Amino acid sequence: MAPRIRLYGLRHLRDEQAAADLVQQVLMMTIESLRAGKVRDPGKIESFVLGTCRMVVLEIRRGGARRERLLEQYLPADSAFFDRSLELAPDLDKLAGCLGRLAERERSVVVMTFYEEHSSDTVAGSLGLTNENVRVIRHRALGRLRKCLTGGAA
Amino acid sequence: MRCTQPIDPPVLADYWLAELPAAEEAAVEEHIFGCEDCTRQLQSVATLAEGIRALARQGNLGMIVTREFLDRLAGEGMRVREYAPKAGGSVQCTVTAQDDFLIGRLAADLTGIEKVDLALCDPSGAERRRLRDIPFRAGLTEVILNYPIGAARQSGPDVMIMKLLAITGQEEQVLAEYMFNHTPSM
Repeated sequence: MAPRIRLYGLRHLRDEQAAADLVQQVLMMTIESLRAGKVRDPGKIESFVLGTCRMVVLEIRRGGARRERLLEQYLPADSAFFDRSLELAPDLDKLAGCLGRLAERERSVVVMTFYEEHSSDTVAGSLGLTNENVRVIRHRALGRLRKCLTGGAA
Repeated sequence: MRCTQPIDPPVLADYWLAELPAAEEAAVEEHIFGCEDCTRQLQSVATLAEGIRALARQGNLGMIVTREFLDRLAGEGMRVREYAPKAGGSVQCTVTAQDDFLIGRLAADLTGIEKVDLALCDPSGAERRRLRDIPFRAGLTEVILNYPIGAARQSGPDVMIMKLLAITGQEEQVLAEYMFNHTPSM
């Protein structure tokens, strides 16, 4: 479950440490709820974990005292609780080679999207393209990158 | 157990970029939390995104960028060395160990132009590299090149001619040339 919670955290919080904190909070809350018999259907634990993720992220966004309380309550002093093997580890040399094989527009679109974190609307405005064009270019570029990174030609 | 209804990669990318409608986003999340295969696929999108961010921050992606890209670098405290020769002009340039990015700003009137290539040439005019069909916005008055800073650091004294070329079918016309006289820093 930890990788899913972490991805959820990265997606919604866009911060590595905040995602790591979320993993710890949600897992501890889930374990406590299971022990206390508060999970109605343990067979559907995924739904419970997702619901807990949503609730905690909402609280984090709201900020304030509840977040501090959650951190204090569920963040163990021992940081080894978080599995470091879950960290992202891209092969940068290989990725650089694959990016180099993309067409100029494709490279610009993926960098603006993932580095600058612009929406397709903003990328379209910056590059003189339509929104639909940007999405098509982005999907094509990601497909080529995936293929290149897994050993096929870009 | 393999996923029998895997989420399409473009949908996963849209999810990661927060570009799905709320209902579709919720459905993707519910699927992900119950599916190891699709979690792995989403992880690969996240890894790709992280890699692209890391490479962009290293300054080694030779590519056309925007004014907003430069603003973001400045906001992140990156040290950006910029050279902006006029069309037909030349500039003395270098790069130091303290610089994070090397940027060439090529002034040009691209009004009415539909397709542009950027050719990087040696002093004799022979092309070393061509960036084809570069992205640009109508009405733009400059093209901004993020030159790979690692390559510039390793270079000895060098002269590079950059040419912006308007492409029409099989024809090409030089819009402007720029000369960069590179001297390694001490």
